[in-house]
Amino acid sequence: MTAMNINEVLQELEKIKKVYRELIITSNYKQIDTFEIGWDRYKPGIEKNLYAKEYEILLQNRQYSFLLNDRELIQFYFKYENETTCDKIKMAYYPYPIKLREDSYDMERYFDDSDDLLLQEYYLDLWNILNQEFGVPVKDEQLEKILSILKDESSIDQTIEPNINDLIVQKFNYKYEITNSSHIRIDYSRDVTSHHVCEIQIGAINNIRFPLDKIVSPFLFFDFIIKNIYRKSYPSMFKSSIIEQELNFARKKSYQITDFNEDNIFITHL
Amino acid sequence: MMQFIPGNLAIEKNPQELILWDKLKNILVEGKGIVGYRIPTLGIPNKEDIPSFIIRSEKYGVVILDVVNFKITAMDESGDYWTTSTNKEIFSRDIVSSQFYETVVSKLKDDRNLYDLKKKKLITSDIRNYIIFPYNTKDEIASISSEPINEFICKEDIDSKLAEIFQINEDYSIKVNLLDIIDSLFENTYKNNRKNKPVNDPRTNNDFIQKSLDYTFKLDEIQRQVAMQIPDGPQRIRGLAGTGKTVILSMKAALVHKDFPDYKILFIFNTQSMYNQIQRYVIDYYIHETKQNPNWSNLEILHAWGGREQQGLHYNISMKYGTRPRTYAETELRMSSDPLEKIYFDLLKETKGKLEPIYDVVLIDEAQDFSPSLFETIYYLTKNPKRIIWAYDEFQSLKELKIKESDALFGKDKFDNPNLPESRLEGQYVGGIDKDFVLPNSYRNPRINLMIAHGIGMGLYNQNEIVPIEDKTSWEARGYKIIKPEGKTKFEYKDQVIAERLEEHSKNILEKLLVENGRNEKELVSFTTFNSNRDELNQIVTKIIHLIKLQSVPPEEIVVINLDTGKNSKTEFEYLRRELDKQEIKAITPGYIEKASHFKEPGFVTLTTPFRAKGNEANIVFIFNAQIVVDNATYRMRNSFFVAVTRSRGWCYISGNGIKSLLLKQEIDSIIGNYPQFKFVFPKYEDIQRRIELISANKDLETVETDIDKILADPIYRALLKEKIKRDEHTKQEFKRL
Repeated sequence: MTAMNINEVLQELEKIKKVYRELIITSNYKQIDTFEIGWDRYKPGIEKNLYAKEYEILLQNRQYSFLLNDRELIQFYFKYENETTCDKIKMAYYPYPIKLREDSYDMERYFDDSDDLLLQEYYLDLWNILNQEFGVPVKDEQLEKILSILKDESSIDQTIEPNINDLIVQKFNYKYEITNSSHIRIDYSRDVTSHHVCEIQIGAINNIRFPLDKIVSPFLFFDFIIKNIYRKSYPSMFKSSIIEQELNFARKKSYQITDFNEDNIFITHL
Repeated sequence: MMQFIPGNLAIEKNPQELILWDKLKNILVEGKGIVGYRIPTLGIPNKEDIPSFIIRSEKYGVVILDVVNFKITAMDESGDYWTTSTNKEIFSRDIVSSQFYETVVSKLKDDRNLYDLKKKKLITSDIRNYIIFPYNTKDEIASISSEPINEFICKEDIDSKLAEIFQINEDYSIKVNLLDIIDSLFENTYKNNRKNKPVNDPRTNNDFIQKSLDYTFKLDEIQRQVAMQIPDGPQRIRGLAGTGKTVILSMKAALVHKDFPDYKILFIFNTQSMYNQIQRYVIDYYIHETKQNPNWSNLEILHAWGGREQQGLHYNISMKYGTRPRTYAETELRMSSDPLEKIYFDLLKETKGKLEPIYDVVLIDEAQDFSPSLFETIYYLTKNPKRIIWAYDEFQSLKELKIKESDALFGKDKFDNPNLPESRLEGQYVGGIDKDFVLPNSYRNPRINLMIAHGIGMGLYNQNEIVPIEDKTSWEARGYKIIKPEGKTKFEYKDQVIAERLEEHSKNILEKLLVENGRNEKELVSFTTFNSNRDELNQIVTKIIHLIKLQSVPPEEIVVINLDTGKNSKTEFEYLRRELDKQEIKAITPGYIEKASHFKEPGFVTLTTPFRAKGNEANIVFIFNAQIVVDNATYRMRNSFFVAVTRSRGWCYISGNGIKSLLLKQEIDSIIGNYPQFKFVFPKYEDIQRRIELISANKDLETVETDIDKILADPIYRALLKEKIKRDEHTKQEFKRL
């Protein structure tokens, strides 16, 4: 069995676009060079410590192969040395970074001149936490109000000690359902020696890598993501005969890696 | 008519120049032409090197008059330097004037209609050059001068000489078309005809768009007059969207900066995406005039808010006075209906009395978007005589049916008197500069588009929702002529009103090109109704495919605006984007997926909301979900509709779905049927008043409206409501009157 050649990768991406069409808002993949598939204005390795910021930069700069409904991103990057020898692969999924407990899509009505408002507010909340950490007084008026009420009460009941740190964290928990989602990616690098050639990375933490014994095909990767983000509706989304046929076909395109060692897990920051 | 362009005359305040200016205004009355104070500059950076008055006119020809603003006591042997009575050495005005003369001649040589290449001679008659000494007598000058280059005019001869210079010679005139060429050479808007592409016959939408883009922006007479003057105090400029307000303010900023490089100038605006445009206008004009870059430390172009990443006035003041810079994301501001007012209100509270005047001139663009606290802040930041120039869109929102008077904008002093009373905007400054200036000509919107926007915006053809402009003057300020009722300045209940939009106020090029090519300008607006939202969206996709693939329209020329910004809008934008993507047509959704400032990115169709579209324009605009406009008790959607339609430079495809869209169709059909006139019956003032209250309310009316709908739908709630009303005498009476 051999790895997919560059044309076969393009065909798979074409197929993804066709099969999952109703889930894709924008398809953006492109053969950018004779032996390279990426997208226009491809920039390698944009990473930020704060996932939301990393996500935002990727979204705004169109650093994706597919933009899905709900603004989730999928990246496919392939670099070949020649027709058949694959050099580098990156397949990644970037979910929308946060989820609020309340439905806040109405925000648009209030201010129309800024970018993603959910994320801006999230940054402000983070900023509040950091400010508190470094001893800067709280600026959040809501919190200040609660704090002053608590102070009044505590003068009567000495057992209540207002703790601003707890309050901020509680406000965070109350407001956000998810705040620390992150990307998942599969990396393949033919020449690498310091770690396994093909591995799965979860989160932006560079230092945790799990080895893979296979390079899965783009179609399988895409389907894996869709199957999981639409866990409930997935079974009714497609004609199962068609999708099964495509998946069988794609499985054959997956490429077995020799010299696999399952103990090859890297957590170098420990 | 002679046009007088005072430039910086009012700020320079040279008494003798002011006197002469008034004299010229009395003498120069015949025919067409322009009188400028140190204008045109012909690319000469130093104002000292430009003579006082430059006249070009069909009756008087080209005349250069320089006023020597000092008493001269000596001239050196070469004549190069003159000494003033205060013992200052100045460069000979005689030489300055002659050098300017040479520059004029070399400019005029650029056009073969003005210069005979064979004979090497100007075809127009000679250019006349005079030096005026208002502080010296003939004898004084005769005793110190030798062999002047130009004719000297002294104190006692000024009146008689002026009469002689400007005596009309019936045999003499410069043809108006030559005068136009001179104007464009002087103002550098001249384009050599040979370089123009041959005119071909336009067929596709894109042919028309491209042809219309070939035209360069040239100031019209009214714009030139207001752009080329700096008032010595506050000034208000009013005009509809697309009347050139931003260009005019930018030119004013550049003009002050050029002549008064030490002045601190502030230019503030509200729409983030306008920054680059303003900067480009200022740079273009400034570099053209001075051949150097502006000194940005004295010419600040700032967003009204700003943040750590982009400079802004609020952010800068906060930093300077040690108050807290605020961000949009704060919960308190997000809940506020006017966050900008809130932050400036708080800023004033925290700094009151401490703000120091630092700016000599302040220019405010998009002033209709700003509320009083910001104006008041500006007032304190501006030095006397408060040269604050604000450009105001007469009709960006229905709230602005009546102009907000300056009394209410700039705050009050400690005796509770307005800092800047409206009366300060009456009349003119020295040099004939209007304190309140109206720009009636629209460049952006074709006439039919503008009338659809106005007609629907004011609900003129919907008896239950009509909120018309109430008086003749305000209609005229927006470029309409009142045909009926005759002789009334303020309209009354049941008046039959006929208002006509005059063709002369419509300067849209696409409209003219269509008419020239035998097409009807009415094709620029269309309205289509659909049974369902899905049908509507699909039709938009089909039309866009047609425009891009068959009419060769570049995707960036297409902007799609969703009037319904409720919770379905997200899905609708995603649907449109996906359906276009299926056809390999790429789209952007600024502020939702791409950055808010990314508008009309080359190669992409723009999908957006009315508010995000503000300040932008496009040759092709789609507007959908227009049914939301009618039968909306808050009236606010009429305003969104107005904003959306006024984005269009050319074709505007409007659509709606459901039964309500048929109601809107009736309104639009009435407008088209009566075009270019509006015919309506004036409603009761109390009805107008109530509607305006709703429009201007800062409350969340949408939620309350939903609640009221619930009450009306439930028989028990309805019964309760009736009981309540019955018991409240006042409300009962009001309902009866309805």
